[in-house]
Amino acid sequence: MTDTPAAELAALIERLCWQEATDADFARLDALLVAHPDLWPAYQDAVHLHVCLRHRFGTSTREPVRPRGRWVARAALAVAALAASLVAAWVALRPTPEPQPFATITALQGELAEGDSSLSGNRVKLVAGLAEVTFRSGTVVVLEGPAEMTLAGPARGVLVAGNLAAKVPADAGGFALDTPAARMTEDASEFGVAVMSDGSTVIQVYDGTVRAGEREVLAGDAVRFSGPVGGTAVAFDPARFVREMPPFETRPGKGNDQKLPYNVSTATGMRIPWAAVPPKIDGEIGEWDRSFAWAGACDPPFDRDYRASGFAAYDATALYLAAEVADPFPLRNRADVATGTEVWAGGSVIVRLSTDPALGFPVDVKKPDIHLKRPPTPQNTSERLNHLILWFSRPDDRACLDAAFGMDEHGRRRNPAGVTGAAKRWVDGRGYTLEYAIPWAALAGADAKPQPGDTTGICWQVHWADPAGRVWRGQLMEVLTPGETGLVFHNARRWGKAEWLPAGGK
Amino acid sequence: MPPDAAIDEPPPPDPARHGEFLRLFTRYQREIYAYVFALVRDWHAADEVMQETSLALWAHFGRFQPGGNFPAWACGVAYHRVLRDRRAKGRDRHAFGEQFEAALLEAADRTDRHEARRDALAGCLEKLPAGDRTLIEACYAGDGTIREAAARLNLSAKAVYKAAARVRQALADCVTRTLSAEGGR
Repeated sequence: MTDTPAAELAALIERLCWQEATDADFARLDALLVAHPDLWPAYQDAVHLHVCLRHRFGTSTREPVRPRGRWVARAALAVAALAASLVAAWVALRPTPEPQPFATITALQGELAEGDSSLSGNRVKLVAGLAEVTFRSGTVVVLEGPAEMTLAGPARGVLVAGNLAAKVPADAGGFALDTPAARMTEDASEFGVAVMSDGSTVIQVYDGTVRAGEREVLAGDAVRFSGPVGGTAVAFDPARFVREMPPFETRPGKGNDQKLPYNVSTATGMRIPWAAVPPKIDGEIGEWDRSFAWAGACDPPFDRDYRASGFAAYDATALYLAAEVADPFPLRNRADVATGTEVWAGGSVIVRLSTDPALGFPVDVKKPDIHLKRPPTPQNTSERLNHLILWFSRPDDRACLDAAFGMDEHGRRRNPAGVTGAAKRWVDGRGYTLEYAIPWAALAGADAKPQPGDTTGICWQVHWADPAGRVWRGQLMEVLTPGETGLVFHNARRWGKAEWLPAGGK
Repeated sequence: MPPDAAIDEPPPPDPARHGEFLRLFTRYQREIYAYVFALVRDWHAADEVMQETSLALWAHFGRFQPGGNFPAWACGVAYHRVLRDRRAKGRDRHAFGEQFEAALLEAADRTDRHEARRDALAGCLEKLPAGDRTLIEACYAGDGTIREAAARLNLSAKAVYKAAARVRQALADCVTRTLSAEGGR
């Protein structure tokens, strides 16, 4: 029982905010505020705090129990569309009562948010990857995740977030698209649209003409809009959008088999030599001793185009890593240094290794998971369990390194101080070489390094991506311990043996 | 405060002021939404009213004087949208009496102070202990119900309910202290 109006108000607010208030609660709240108008500021403050927290931490990828939370984008959409047509905007934004979805998903290489596969809610939320959405009018849209699009009609969409590329056939009768910053209509054209993180919209036209507000965007042009009027020309980038679903290469097998690597690991361990002379980090690895490298290839018929080899060496100051990767579409990773996420997926080499002999070999640790009653321990969260992603950012034209630690992959950082890397495309354009020097100080610390004679664990993963450098298409894993199962980022027992050789050791 | 009838006859919006409008709307949209939610007390209804309000705000932006109190003005427009929404839906669950409506209009005039509270909240969140931060994030993620947060945290719903109330009270106290220290509102 609450004893003061303020305390009673606080209790009512709690129930209100957690969607647990009853009609009796609402009535009591009204009565309380009428009887004690001085409580209004406290009530407003509490609700405002709740709204701010909900705005800050609320997720948009899950389907809510009750419709909630998209008002920011939807309201912004409404405002932007007003300048073009107030009535039409409202029609476009309101949920449609028509029972049949306005489009269907005709191809998917990615992950949809739960409950969206049928498009019965006339909404597509793509967590990652690509989805091809075909509208009833015939317009085909390739949506690039993370993205969210509302289907507002058989020939009308609202792109709330993310990128899309659309092809509007001549007989489709046109297509209209709204974004938070622009409204555009097309007759027969191919174009891409990106909703940027700042709310602006980039429209790039490949074929035909797109009308955006008062402006016409012609084939070969790209324009950024911050509102329904104006627009600023930006550079046309042919690779800015994924315009077609890439063919999906699968290996024999079904279901989970297709998630297995495209190879069977041939190496069970690698010897890591002491570098008497540090390699020059220039993407040329002629000075590396190939007798210490592993070499692997994907299963036929992919073995000719998808091969890799890996090199490692060390000395008192640094770990040195290098990889040669045969890749028909080399160095196309579209992630940028400042904002890129899931950077491995656009083409990368991942090295997972233990630098602590005390963790033993096999490295008997697994990812902590409280649901599996596997709590965090000093072992499974050790700073000396390294997950190193070697990747090349095409937007920034830079070889990059992402590092995370422990099987919980904590402490993720990009391009730690002191790390140098180089990437070089092969002369024939069919592959690339990566080369890195990673000071021990950039990992667990200058003194937390393996000593000559130590034995630890290591494994390598190579990911190949689609031609746009966005979606991973296949992988190779090497240096694994036979007989162990599970994901290499969950179970370090799968990692192969790393033998840290003394100077001159073979 | 514009009378309700006037809302039906807005002057045409001036496209040249669209940028100014977007800046103000983006800046204060959480405050406007909080006001709307305080009135309708239902997330779905608040979303609907917010959309209607955003349209109305632009339609009436010609009446807003540059340099004026935008959140207070916007909440005044939102207030009429709430009344209209309630009439349209024929719902009278939370009927507003005359005295109550006066309080609502006064509340609209207070919304401008919430921007400072929002800024202070950002700093207070940074100061939260890690455990409290995890808890409050879990409460607001997903479908925003205590039940789901409890499942995620492997705790009882009662425990999460009490803990969430404690953390929010701590945040509210921190915001108040911060503004007092800054001589704020």
